[in-house]
Amino acid sequence: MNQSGDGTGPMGGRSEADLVRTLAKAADAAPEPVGDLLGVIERRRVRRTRRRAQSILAVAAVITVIGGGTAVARGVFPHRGGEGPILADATATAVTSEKPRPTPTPSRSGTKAPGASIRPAAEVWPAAVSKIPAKAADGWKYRPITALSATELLLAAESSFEKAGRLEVYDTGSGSRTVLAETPGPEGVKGYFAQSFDVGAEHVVWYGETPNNGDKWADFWVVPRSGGTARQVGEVTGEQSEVDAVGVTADSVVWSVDKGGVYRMPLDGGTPERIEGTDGLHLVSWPWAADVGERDFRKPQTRLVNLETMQVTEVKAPDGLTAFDCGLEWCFGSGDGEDDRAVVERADGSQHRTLPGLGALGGDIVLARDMGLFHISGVVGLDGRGEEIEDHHVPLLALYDPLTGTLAGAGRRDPKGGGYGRGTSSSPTSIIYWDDDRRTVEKCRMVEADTAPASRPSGAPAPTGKIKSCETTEEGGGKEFTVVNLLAIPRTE
Amino acid sequence: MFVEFADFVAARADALYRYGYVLTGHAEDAADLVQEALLRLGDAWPRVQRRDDPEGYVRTTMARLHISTWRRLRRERLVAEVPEKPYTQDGFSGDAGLWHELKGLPPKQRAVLVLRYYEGLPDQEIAELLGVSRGTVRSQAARALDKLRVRVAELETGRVR
Repeated sequence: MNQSGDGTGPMGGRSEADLVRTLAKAADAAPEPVGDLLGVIERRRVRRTRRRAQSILAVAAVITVIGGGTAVARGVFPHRGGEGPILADATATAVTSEKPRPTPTPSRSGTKAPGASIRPAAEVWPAAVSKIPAKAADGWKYRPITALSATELLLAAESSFEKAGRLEVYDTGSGSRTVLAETPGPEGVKGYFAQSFDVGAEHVVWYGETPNNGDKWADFWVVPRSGGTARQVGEVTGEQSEVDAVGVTADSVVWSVDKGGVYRMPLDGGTPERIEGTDGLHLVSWPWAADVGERDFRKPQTRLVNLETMQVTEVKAPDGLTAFDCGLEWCFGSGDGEDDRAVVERADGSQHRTLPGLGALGGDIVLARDMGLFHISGVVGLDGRGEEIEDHHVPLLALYDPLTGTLAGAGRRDPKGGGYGRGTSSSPTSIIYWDDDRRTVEKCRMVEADTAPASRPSGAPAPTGKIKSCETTEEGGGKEFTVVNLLAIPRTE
Repeated sequence: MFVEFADFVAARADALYRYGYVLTGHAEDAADLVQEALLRLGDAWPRVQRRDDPEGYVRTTMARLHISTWRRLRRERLVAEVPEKPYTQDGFSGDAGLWHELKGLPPKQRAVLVLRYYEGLPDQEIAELLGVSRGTVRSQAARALDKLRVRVAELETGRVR
């Protein structure tokens, strides 16, 4: 790329390089934000009523992990273009030579990642791990929801991104699949998306909404677990429509809302009613509700309520934890990312234990059957530049069974990252899955140093000559998922 | 691994603000844009964080907001306020004239240039991101480059993607 001096190109003689440089330099020299940027976001977040984002957002599942180590210190987020997202990466890519990144060798001989001894789920629980097709017979993509039994997996088949058009059941014993129901949505409603599904004793339930318009509206559907024609139970508007969790009992659809509070509506239709004594509560899995919803950040759970008996279990997070999440009998937590230590205890605080080398995944730790899901740190030391060295043979995730104390590895970890998905059921899911054929790849190319858009932290010396500009994406896969079915895990207490 | 929304905001707000700044050319608009986009991300966080790319989500939201009504309303509100001062920020060693002219472009043209030359995205991705055709991206870019009197060296291959 040709250069034109210090950027003050002559009239009519500007080049694209001038444009690249001007934008990058303007970004570097951006005036201090007016006021307290982050404080404002926090305050506005708290007071504003939820407005849906403009893009399509329905249930979501697959997590991509970029880099490793601690979440914030390294590039967890895929970054776009040449903009170095974080100091460590930017420093690393601003090296002028083509020196390869250091190979992951432990800085101290014999150092092992604490999670290195965790064996993969396929070895620990062979009966619970199977491969399933990633697509339906007609090409629609599967999005696993949860397991119905030790061999049956409930899957949503999507006609387009996040547009669930059909429920299917995949039998891992026979390898056969059957259509449970079509999920067409109400007639005449544009932009409708079926959202969270959940499985009750006799029915599968879900709610849907129109996430891309401002309407406060939602509807509820059921179909017998044995299959059939889906039936709309009813529609709600206003605060009742801001559903954050859904479930089904023998005679009602039950759901909780963003602001807290649990409602019910008879299966044969009728007026929705708020269940008394549920202020501030969010459905976990009927009949259980907790005082923390999916939109509460860093709020440790303190109460678990059985909505059938209104029996309250008080839980208290041990000091120093930033995440604390309880299932019906067990609680899980962890400290900050640096800590790499997870704690497990009974809801009454008994049987407290510590699991080294594991960290919480946000607040979303509890899976079906009170199993815990943790991230395993693969960090074995630091290299000469202070960057973390990862052991890529350590599993990405640990599944923990508190009843038996068993740990098993899950997810896909590769040298540039990894990924996994969790079932999308409203109740804690019994499915963890991943695509073994997908690869996290880093694509790098050499560019002129001063044309690389904003690729260095301010204060770093300006690189000259060619520098490496990299971006990280995912490739391949899409044929098959490896699934762990938690309902197929043998347990003896 | 998962990241808390607050951690994400703390780690990425500065870079997003700078992106907002080149997108809008105004510190106040940039702050507004990044705040609005982060609020939207916050609403969707439990879902987005389970997906793959919260940062891409924010950047896409910012670019779309920038060319949407929201932006136009915002600018109309600002017209009554202080007139835009010439850019005299200390430490800015770029082409101040070019930067100033960039700020005069219509939002869509400007967004296309920022996505192409700041974000380094290929035209196809810009088209998808803004929800327009690739032809529109090309024509908007060509018009903007022409206005700015930027020579496009077609034979060069070294453009930052």
